[in-house]
Amino acid sequence: MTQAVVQLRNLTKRIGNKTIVDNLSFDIPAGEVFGFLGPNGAGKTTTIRMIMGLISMSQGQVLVKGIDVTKDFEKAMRHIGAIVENPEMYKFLSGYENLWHFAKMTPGVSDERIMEVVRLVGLENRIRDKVKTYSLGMRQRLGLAQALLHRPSVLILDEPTNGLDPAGIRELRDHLRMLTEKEGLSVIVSSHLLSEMELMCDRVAIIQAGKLVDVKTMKEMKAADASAQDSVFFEVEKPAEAKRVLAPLWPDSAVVEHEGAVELTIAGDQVPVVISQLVSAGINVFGVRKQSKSLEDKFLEMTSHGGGGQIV
Amino acid sequence: MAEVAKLYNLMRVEWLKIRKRPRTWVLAALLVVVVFAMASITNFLGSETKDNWKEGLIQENQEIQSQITALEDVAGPAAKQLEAKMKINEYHISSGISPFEMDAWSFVSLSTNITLLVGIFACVIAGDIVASEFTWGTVKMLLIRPVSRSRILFAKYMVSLLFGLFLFVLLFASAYLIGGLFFGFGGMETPHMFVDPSNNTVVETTKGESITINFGLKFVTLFMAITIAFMISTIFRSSSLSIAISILLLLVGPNLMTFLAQYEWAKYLLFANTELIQHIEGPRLYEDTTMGFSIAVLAVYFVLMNAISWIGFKKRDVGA
Repeated sequence: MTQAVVQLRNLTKRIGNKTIVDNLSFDIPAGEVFGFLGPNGAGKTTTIRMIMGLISMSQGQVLVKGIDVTKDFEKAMRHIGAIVENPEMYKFLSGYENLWHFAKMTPGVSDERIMEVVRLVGLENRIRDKVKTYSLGMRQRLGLAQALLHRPSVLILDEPTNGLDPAGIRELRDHLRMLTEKEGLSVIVSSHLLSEMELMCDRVAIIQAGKLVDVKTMKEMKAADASAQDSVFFEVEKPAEAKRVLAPLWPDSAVVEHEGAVELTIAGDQVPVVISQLVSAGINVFGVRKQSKSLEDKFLEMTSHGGGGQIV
Repeated sequence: MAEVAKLYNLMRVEWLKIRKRPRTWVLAALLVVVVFAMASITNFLGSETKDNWKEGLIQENQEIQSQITALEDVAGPAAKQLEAKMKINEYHISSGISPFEMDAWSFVSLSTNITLLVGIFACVIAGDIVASEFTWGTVKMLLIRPVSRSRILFAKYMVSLLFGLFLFVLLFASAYLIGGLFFGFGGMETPHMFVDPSNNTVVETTKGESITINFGLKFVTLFMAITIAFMISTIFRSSSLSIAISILLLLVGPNLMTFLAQYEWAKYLLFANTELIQHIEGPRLYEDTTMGFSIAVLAVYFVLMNAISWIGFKKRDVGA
């Protein structure tokens, strides 16, 4: 693991007698896209907002580039740019005025830098228009622009794809890739949608009921995925007969009979063998359908164990 | 120096958000319209009573006398105010100085009566300046900057006060200009009468002197009104609610005092002390209070209200 850009130490949030975030400790490495993954209400947003000082912590510590957020908020926040949920902007101001507004709150952001960021997100034609005339996608881009103004080392995105259409999500993803690759930015992103995280992140922390379940690289998660066996459906003429033929040949796998199909749980390389067996037994095969166990299923498996269960 | 530059930038940012909203200029324009209307009415009424003003005042005093006897509480603040008015009328009659001689400065003096309007307008801005960020959802964008919450709050407070000052100056300037156009410029030396609350006698000064004192003390009233509205703004997340409560307090508070003045403890209430002019030009709400007493009470409320704003804003979690 490379050097950590954000470190969480025993981070805890209690409201009344409810513990929303429970003793989270982990490091977020520099130069990666790091995802917070967990079902709704797992404490992702609370954690992210504690990192940015929007929500006070009951206990623990957050270090941004080694600076304690509670002790030296202003210094720590210079390294952070963020979009919290939908980027809410001042609608009665133009895009440029919005950026000017946030630029003035940060030391050392010049007018040239504002225009540089505007070009980076491709808003130069509409930047003088009032934000109320912007489409959601344009607001998202303006949101990204305000987060990048002060050249932060960490970009934090809290549920950034809420309310975005697929094209918008894709655009955001491309921007993030470009930023991590070209500008060496670290990105922290939270989402409850695994399919998005799969495409965006290098590494994810899985959070369940305020507790850390595991931190894994996307590679590790996918590697575990490849060796897994899939459910394969063979659409055949006579399922009952097919079952009789196949059951003795694959004693480890339960052969399930469906209407017009049989289902086997086997590795991918076994599929042609099954087909040739069926054909030589005189059973016509109309189709083969693979139902792979997705990361989504895996994720559900991981988080359904209750607090901090075992990893598959 | 860096501190000043930081604060200056934060104030510019807040001012941008005020001046880019049309309602700001609607309020300013409305204030000028009200001053103009007041000048027109004064002009109309003044020309009617100009020649037989003495008879008018005598008649008015008779009416006041019957009003006082009709009052339940003959020693109450309402009665005192009427008595003072009678005394001043008598002084005008005996000295032969007409109260209806209008000029620019006399009109400015008259316009101190609508500083309440400035207070209301200033409260629209101050009551909204923090709450609106929550209403718009922009507060999370604002609070993730490398600026502490205390600084942001302080800049917002300063800008609220400056906007109040701006309206205040606008009232003064438009009253002078419009008054001058209607009644002719000048009039600094026009006599001004009031009843000194310490010895109950009529004092004669000039309009110029009275205006200086009145505006100065009215600004303290405005200052407190803005502080209340600002505190309410940090407590409520809804800007319309926050504005409504601020204005309601501003309107009801002073009126409630005339009713509460019969109770001794009520002299420690904020609204018993916001009008400092009572200690100079009378009438006092409580005979035993002084300028020093009122200033001390205001100072305590000032510290208390700002502490509530500050702690409330500093501690608040910005959740979903």
